[in-house]
Parts: sequence; C-alpha cells; structure tokens
Amino acid sequence: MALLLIGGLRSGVGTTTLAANLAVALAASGRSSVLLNLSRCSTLGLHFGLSADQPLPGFDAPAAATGPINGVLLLDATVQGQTGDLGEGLSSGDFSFKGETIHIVDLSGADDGVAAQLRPHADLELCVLVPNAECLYSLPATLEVLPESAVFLLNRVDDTRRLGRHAASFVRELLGDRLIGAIQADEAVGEAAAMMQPLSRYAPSSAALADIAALANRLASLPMHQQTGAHDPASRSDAA
Amino acid sequence: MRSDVKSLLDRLNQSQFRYKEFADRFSDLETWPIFEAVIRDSRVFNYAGASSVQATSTTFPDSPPIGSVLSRKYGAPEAVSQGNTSADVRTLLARISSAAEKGEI
Repeated sequence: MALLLIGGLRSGVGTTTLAANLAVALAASGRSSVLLNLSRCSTLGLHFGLSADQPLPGFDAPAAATGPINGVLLLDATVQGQTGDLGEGLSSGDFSFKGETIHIVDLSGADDGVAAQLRPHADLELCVLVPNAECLYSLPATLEVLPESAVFLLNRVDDTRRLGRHAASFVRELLGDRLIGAIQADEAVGEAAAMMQPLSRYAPSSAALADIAALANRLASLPMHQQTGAHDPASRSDAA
Repeated sequence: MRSDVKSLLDRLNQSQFRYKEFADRFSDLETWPIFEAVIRDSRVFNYAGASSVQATSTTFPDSPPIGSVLSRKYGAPEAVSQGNTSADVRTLLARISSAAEKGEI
C-alpha cells in the first residue's frame, strides 16, 4: 500500500492521534512512513514533540530539508491540498505515492474537496469512529458519501461501559467486514499526547498501542487497490 | 478477598484484578432508540441493499433492504418479510434470539 487516507466520521474521534501513532507503528515495523498534514490547525506535531508554532516541512521542500521524527517523515501539504495541486500532480504523474513507502494523509480539518481530489489515488480510505450516539447518528450520511471501498475503525472501545459496548456491537453488525479493527480506550493515549510523545515511546506496553500495532501490520499486508495506474512513478522530491 | 483468589494473585505476582467484560451477545443488546433510527435511515437501507443484493434479490425480492443486513448475517429470512414489524429492532432481535435458541443460526 502506498497512500492511506485517514479521516474521522466526525471531529473529535481521535483521527490525528491515530494517524500519528499508526505512522510511528508502521515505521517501527520497518516500513518507510510519511505523514501528510492538510490542515492549518493540525495537532500532528504534538505527537512528535514539536511545539505549536513550529511549522512542518512543506510538501515541496527539498528532501534535504526534511528528516524523520520517530521514524516518520512529517510533511505539510496544506497549500497543495487547498490549491488542488496535490490531486493535479498525482493525476498528471508529476509525483506519485506508489511504492513501498506508506503515505498517511490526515484528513482532519481538511476540506471535503481535498479528500475528493486524493480519493482516486488512494489505496485505502479509513474512517475513524467511536462507539457513541453521535457517531451512530452521523453514520448513515457517511455511508452515503464514502466510496464502498472505504473501511472503518472503531476507536476508544471500552467494554466496561454499557452504551459503548452495545454501540460497538451494533457497529460491528452493521458494517461487517468493512470494520477492519478496533482500538481500546486507553488513558495512555491522552497522556502520551500531553507528554508530546508518540504512544510507543511513552507507554510501549499500552493496550491501545497493541491494537494500533496490529492495525499497522494488517494495513501493511493489504494489497493495493489504487485506481490510477497510468502514470510513471516519480518521487516527491522530483516534483519539489 | 477470597483466599483462593489471593493465592492466584500471589502466584501471578499481581496485587489486583484486571476485570474483563465480555462483549454482549448480539441478541442481548438493548435496543437504544439511536440503533433503530440508524437502521430505519433510508441511506442505510441503500447501503444494506447494495451490499447484500445477492442475499435478498432472489428469495425475497420485496424485502426491505435493512432486513437483508441481519438476514445475511444470521440467515433469518423470516425476519424480513415486507409489511410486518420486521423493521422494528426489538422484534428483529427477539427473532434472532429465538432462532439462536433453536439452533437455527
């Protein structure tokens, strides 16, 4: 897989946190991992020890100006997303996300148009939801909008809570195979963010990290479904 | 704390439990109104119909698509006949539970 889109069924479901820790988990498993930010108010840097006023390297920055943090290359493609250059570049073949490197795009805070321009080039789109009434209420609209190939992930699953347990069961029955995983609710996730560290560094034995690592392994083993294939691969640095 | 439990914890070198709740059986789920609202939503109807057209189109061409979600899951076709109360979640779950008890699913 080369391009993975991660979005939330609604805001506040932990999409950015998941994207960050998933990218770290993929890197820890030996996969080259790139994390793309598409929002001006993203909190991606929080999980990598970057201060809020510290900009991420631009998507068009020279390769020499960028470097991985915790094994993950962080790039800010907000401008390219908003101008449409990201989708156009992928369509024209100016650059490509094909190959062994897994590019994770955090769609949190990004306009719907940005997701639309990336969708044809994505190998997989992952929609994050939590087992609560608000997400269930939003689910029908999301099912209508998302492509049928999109898959779902239940975040913050807590079997000790009655409603959460029932809602999770309901979602599992409704989505069937489209639900590809679940992440346990774990206070270590929030604590790691407060420590400005990835979960693997702050709480390497946490339950949520085990789930994220399992998800990473599963995603890394998935076959590609990318719809485009006519363009010659070109590296991002070629376009820069 | 019961002595056998304390003994077990000592052997495990643990000082306390970690309780594990097992997921409810689907038939034991409470029918929260939001569940029924989702199931009755026409967009979920469409999603269910598209994802399970083969499960319903030949045998039960007039069945409401949402019934097909659970009938596909549990093979309970009697739960989805049109014009009855099958779209009612409580009724549907009761039928599924009954079928499970009879060993039909």
